[in-house]
Amino acid sequence: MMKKKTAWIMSVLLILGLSGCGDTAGTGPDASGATGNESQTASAGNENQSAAGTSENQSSADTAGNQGAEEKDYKDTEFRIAWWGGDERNEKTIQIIENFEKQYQNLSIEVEYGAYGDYFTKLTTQATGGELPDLFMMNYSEIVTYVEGGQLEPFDQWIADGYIDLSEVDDSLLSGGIVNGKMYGISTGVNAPASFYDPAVLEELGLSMSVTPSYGEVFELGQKVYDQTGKKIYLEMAWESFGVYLRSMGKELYNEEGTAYGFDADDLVDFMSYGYEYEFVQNPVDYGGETDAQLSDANDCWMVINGYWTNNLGKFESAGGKELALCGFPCADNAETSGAFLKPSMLWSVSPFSENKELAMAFIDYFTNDPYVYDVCGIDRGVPVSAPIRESITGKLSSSETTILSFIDTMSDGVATDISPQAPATAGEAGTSINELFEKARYDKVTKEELEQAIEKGNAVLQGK
Amino acid sequence: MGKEQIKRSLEPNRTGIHKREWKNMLAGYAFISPVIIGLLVFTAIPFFYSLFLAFTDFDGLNTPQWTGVRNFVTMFTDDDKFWISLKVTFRFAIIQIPLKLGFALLVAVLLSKAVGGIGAYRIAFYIPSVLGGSVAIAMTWKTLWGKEGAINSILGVFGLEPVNWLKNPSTALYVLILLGVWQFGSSMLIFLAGIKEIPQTYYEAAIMDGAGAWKRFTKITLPMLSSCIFFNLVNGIIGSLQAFNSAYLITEGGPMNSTLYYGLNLYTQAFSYRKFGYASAMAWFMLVIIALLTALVFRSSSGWVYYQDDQD
Repeated sequence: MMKKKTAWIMSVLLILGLSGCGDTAGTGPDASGATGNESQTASAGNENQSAAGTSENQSSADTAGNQGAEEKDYKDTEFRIAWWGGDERNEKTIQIIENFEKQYQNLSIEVEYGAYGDYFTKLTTQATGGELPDLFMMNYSEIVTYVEGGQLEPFDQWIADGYIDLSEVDDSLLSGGIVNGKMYGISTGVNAPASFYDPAVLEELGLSMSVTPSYGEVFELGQKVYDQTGKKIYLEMAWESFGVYLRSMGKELYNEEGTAYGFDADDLVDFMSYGYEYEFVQNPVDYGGETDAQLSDANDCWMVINGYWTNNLGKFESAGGKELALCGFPCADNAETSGAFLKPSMLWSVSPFSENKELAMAFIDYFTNDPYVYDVCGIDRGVPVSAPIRESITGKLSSSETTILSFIDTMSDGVATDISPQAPATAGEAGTSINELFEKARYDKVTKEELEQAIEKGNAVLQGK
Repeated sequence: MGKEQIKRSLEPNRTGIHKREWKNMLAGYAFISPVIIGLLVFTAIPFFYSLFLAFTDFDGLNTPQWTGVRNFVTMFTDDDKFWISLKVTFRFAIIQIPLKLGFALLVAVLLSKAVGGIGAYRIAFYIPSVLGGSVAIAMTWKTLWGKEGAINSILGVFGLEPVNWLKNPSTALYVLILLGVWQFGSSMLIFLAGIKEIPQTYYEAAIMDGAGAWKRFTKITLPMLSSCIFFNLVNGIIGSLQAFNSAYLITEGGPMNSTLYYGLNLYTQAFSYRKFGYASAMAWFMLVIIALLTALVFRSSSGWVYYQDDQD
C-alpha cells in the first residue's frame, strides 16, 4: 500500500515538474519559466479579440502616455515583449523594461529573447498558434508577410489619438513601417548598409577611400593594399550588397508589384565579376577565423564587405580589437547614385490580439521619447529617430557610436536615396536558386546560363505559382 | 459450509472481474493516462492534422487552402532540392548504418570479456550516444573539424596539409557521418546484453571441436546476435533517415547542399519559406519510405533472425 502511495506522489511531482518546463528563452523580471507557460495559454484566448484597435481607445479613460496609470493595479496584467539580440542587448533591454515597469503599479512584464536566426521561426510558430507576444520586434524584410497574414496592429488610429507622440520624428524615418498605406511598425532607430575597414592600413600607405566607393575603386585599392601588406578584402556576395549595386544604376531588386525581379542575368554577371578569383579577395571558404573577427591582426583582412549594417560596427570592432571606419556597400562603376539608403534598423509591432494594447503603445512612446532608454542602450538599435534625443546623446557616445552617427548624418545629407519598397513575402524562397549560385561562386565558375535559369526560377516563385 | 463461502468469494462478479482486480486496473489506467493523453494530444492529433496539411497550401498565418495532390506532384517533378536531399540522406544512411553497427558489434565483443576496469570502458563508449545529439557536442565537433581545429593540427604533426573539412563539398558529409558513428554506444550496449545471453557451453563445445576464433564468431556469436542486429538495424534505418541536428547545427545544409538532409530541407520549406503544406507532404512521403523499408526488414527477418526462446 505504501509503495502505491509513494508512486502516486512521485508521479504527481513529476507531472508538475514537467509542466514547469516553459520554452521562453528568457526570464522576465518576475523570473520563472512556469509563468511563461501560463501566459502563453492565457493569450491563446486572445484570438477572439477583434483586430480593430478603436474599440479599446474609446473604452480606456487613460490619457496618452504615462499619466493616469498609477491608479490602476497591474498585478494581474500579462504582457509579453519579444526581441532578438546578443547578451549585451538583452541585458540593456531588460534594464529599460524594468524602468518602464516602475511607472505602473505592480506591473511585471514577461520577456522573450533569443538569437536572430531563430527569431522569426519562433514568431511564425507563435502566430500560427495565436500566441503572439503583445509587443515584438519586427524587421523590414518580414513586415509584409506579417501584414498579409493579419498579425500586426495598425498604429494610425493610436497615433492620431495621442497614445504615441511622434511629433519629433521625421516622417521619412517612419515610412519604413508603412505597408499598403498604413503604419504597422514603428522604427526603433536608423541604420544604413555598411562595409567595415581598417583606416590605419590605408593611412599608412597614403591611400584613401570615398565614403560610397564604387567596386572599381575598392578593387583597385584592394590590389594595392595586397601588394604592399598582403592583407585582403573579406567578401561575401549577398542580396543586400547586390541590391545597393542595382540601385546605384537606377534598377531595383524587385519590380513594383513584387511579382518579378528588376534585374537580368547581365547585371548578375557584372556584379559577380567582382568576385573570389582575385588574389586580394578573401574567400569565406578559406577563412578559418572566428565570425566577425576578420579585421583582427591575426586574420589578415583590412576590409569586410558582407551585407551588414552600421549597427554591427561594435561587433567587428570588439572582435577585431581595433577602431574601424565605415563606408557604404560598393556601387557600380559609372553609377548614377551611391545606391545607399537609410533603413529602419528594427521596428516595434503590436499584436492585433493583444489584451493590453494601451500598454504596448505607452511602451513604444516611452521607447521613442524617453532619454533614459538611450542612456542605457545608446544606438544599439540604430540611430534614434527622435531629433531631440539624437542631440542629447551626441555628447555621450563612445567613439565607435560617433563614427556611426556621423556616417548616418553623411548619408542623410543627400547621399542616400529613398529606401526601396519592402521585399515581397515570397522573396526568401524565390532567392534560393540565386543564393545557391552566390555560394557556388566560392568554389567554381558560375556561367551566365546558370544565372539565367536561376532568375527564371525565382521569377516563377515571385509570380506566385 | 466453509467451502461454499470460499467458492463464492472466488467467483467473479457480474462484470467478470474481481473488485480488487478492478481497483488495480483503475490504478494502472490512472498511471498510464498521462502518456495516453500526451500521445493523443501531442502525437495523434498533429499526426492526422499534418496528413490534412499535406494536401493544402498553408503559410502558417492564413487558413489552409486545399490543393489536392499538387504538393506531391511538385515534389516529384519540379523540385531539385527534394531529390538532392533524398540522395544525401540515403547516402548518409547507407554509409552510417553499417559503420555504426560494425563498430558497436566489434567493441561489444571486445568489452564482453570481464577484464579489470571494463566498467569504465563501457561507460566511456556509451557516453557519446547520450550526449552526442546535443548542441554543445555539435558545436565542439564543428570546431574540431574546422580549418584551424584540432584534427588539422594533428594532421600537421604528421606533415600533412590541413583540409577544410566542413567547407569542402566532398568531405563535409563524411564529417557528419563520423559524428553519427561516434555515437554507437547505445547499439553497443544492446549487443553487449545479447552477447551475455549466449550460453558459454556453445563456445566450449566449439573449442573442443577445434573451431578458431573467427569460426566461433561467425557461426555462434553472429547468429545468436541476429535479433540484436535486427533491432539495431531497424532503429538505425529509422534514425538515420530522420537525421536533422548535425546538418542544422554544423553545416546548415552546405556546402553546396552536400549535407542537405531530408529533414533539414523539410524544416527550411516549413519555417523559412512558410510552406507548411508542402513540408507536411514531404514528411508523409518520408514516413511511407521508412515504413516500407522497415516492413522489408521485418519480412526478411524470418529468414535470418534467430530468437533464443524459439524451440524448434
